[in-house]
Amino acid sequence: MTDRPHDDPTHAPSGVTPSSTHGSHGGDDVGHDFAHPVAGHHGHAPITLEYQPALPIPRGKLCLWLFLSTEIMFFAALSGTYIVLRFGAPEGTWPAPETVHLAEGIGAFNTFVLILSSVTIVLALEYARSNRRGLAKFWLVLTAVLGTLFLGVKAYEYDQKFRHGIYPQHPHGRIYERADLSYLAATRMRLQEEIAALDAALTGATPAPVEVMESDPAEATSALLPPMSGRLAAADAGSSHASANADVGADVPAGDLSAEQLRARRETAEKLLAGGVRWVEGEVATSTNDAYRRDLMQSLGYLVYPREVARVPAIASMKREQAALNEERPTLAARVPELEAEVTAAGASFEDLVRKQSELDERIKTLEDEIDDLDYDIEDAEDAEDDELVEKLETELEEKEELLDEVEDERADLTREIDALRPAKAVADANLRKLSARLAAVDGRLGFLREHLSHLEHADAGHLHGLSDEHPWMRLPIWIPSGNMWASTYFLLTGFHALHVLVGIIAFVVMIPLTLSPARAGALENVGLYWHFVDLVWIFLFPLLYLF
Amino acid sequence: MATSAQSSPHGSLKTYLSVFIALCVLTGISFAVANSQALMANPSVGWSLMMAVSAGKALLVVLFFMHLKYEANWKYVLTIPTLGMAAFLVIALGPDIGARTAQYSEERWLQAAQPLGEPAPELAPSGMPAATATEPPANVPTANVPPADTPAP
Repeated sequence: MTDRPHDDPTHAPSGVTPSSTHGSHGGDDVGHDFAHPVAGHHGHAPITLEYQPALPIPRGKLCLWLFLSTEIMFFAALSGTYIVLRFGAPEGTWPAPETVHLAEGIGAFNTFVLILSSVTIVLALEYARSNRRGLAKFWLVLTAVLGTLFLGVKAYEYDQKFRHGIYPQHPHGRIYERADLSYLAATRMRLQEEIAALDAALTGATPAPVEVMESDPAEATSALLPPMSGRLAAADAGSSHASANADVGADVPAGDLSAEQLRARRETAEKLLAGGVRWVEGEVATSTNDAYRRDLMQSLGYLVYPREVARVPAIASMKREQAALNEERPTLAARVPELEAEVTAAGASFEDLVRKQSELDERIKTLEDEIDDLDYDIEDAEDAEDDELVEKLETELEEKEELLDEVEDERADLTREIDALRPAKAVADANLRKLSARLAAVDGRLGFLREHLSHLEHADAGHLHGLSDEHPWMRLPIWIPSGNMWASTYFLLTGFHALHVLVGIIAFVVMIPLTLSPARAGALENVGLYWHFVDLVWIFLFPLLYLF
Repeated sequence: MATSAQSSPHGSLKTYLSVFIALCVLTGISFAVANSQALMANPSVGWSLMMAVSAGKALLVVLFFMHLKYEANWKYVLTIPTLGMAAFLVIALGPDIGARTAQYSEERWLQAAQPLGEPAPELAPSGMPAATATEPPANVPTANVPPADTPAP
């Protein structure tokens, strides 16, 4: 076979002549080499009409090679596109393998598995050719097993990604390209949603589920679930079963959560919402320092989903913030008594005036009563026709009415004074309230920073354990620059490759029951060629995805 | 084994085992390159080495496992144009997809993936802008104020 046919194979297609010997060459494309009859006659035979195959190989093999050449283009295009996208991404953004939970060791293991399976399939072919059917079958079965092992490892790897919210697509994907305002808003909304769900679970856990079932079919379904709302239960189902949660104490299956655990979760979420998200949102809204705003948002993003490169800057910016807040806090605390005094002073004079006002009100009432009395007395005197008394009483009435006018004027002045004082008091009150709120917020943030800084500094370097790992049930948005593009290309590449592996395994399984005699060697060779190609693709994918 | 009288002069157990070992060793080399501080100091050196190793591995698989070493010249007809087309496609993607960030407008950059910023030079040593640090508390919006009953952690 190494002595290649004399005539150039590329010219062969036109070489089929009308009276070619179909009987001797047609039909059988398994294990039969067409090169020999051609090669055997080359040069010396007289001009006989003879069938020349398109290429000096069996038709099945030819078809497979044609298919493989399209496959080469397909995968070269896919991985080439990956390379182009990867190196064209904004500088410094493409996620490192460890950032997206790709373990080199696992990739290397899978490479080994595929290489080994290439050897086993080639051995199966050799044994089938030498008609040692039992051994051929053994190696074929082993190849299928190795292919399945590869897929199993792949499934484990996919599960790792899904567990961390790395999906190629929304709504499952939680990847954000930037730690910006929309990332902050998404984090806040997720936490609020989670807190609401926890609240629902907490209150929903108390009433007897039987009553709910009778009254409302919609609620009945959620009542059938463990004592959590349906949504929360569904959220946890994805991340609850399996070993990864062994190191995450709080993440037990949803049904096993006691009210106490639910409350603990709620508290954790509240803490992150107040000391983390809300604080950052407030600062970002008020500050004019872009670097400070960026640092705040990035350090939050880092805490949720840490990356090794970001560790040092994140710790540094958190420390800077801590120092600044520690500096601000005494100033704030010193202002509290000051504002309290202001509030008290404003309140004191205000109350004083209000008291005076009510005194005047009383005086006005007394005077009005006296005037009424005088009116009656005057009427009585007129009835008695005592003119002297009437005159005297009328003078007295006039005096009283003058006095009433005076007092009423005084009261009007006082009311004006009180109205003038009211906003000042409200401002003093509001100032005090805001100061106390700011102080509480600063204290909350300082506590948050203290907790997370000590956590960061004590974690062993390189071990990336963020809030999204610690509390997977929160399903927080994660900041992975270029992570969406990465996920799309990763799942596309490995998914297509895994599909090819699956097809290969199916082909093996179909062949296993057959008798692997030399007559079947051709088919086995074709399946083997396909399988080697699958191995070939992985040879390029492994360094591209795991090592670059 | 099968080398003897059979129709396949290509491949013997010995060949296959040597190829297998070579492939394992080459995988190990890729792994070592990826983890070598010196070679990855300039990543393109490491990347080129890894791709070269991969090409070598691919060649071994194609030549020995897929028996192309022993095939007639038709192998060039099927492989070389294919590889050329594949390479052409990748090269054709370069100017627009590969160099896409060169064309980004300022607005587009606002939505682009955000690399980790270097520590900002314009930042005051305290890290806190003066405006926020000393502003009267009356100006603090309620947005960043946690509920009053939230206990300080």
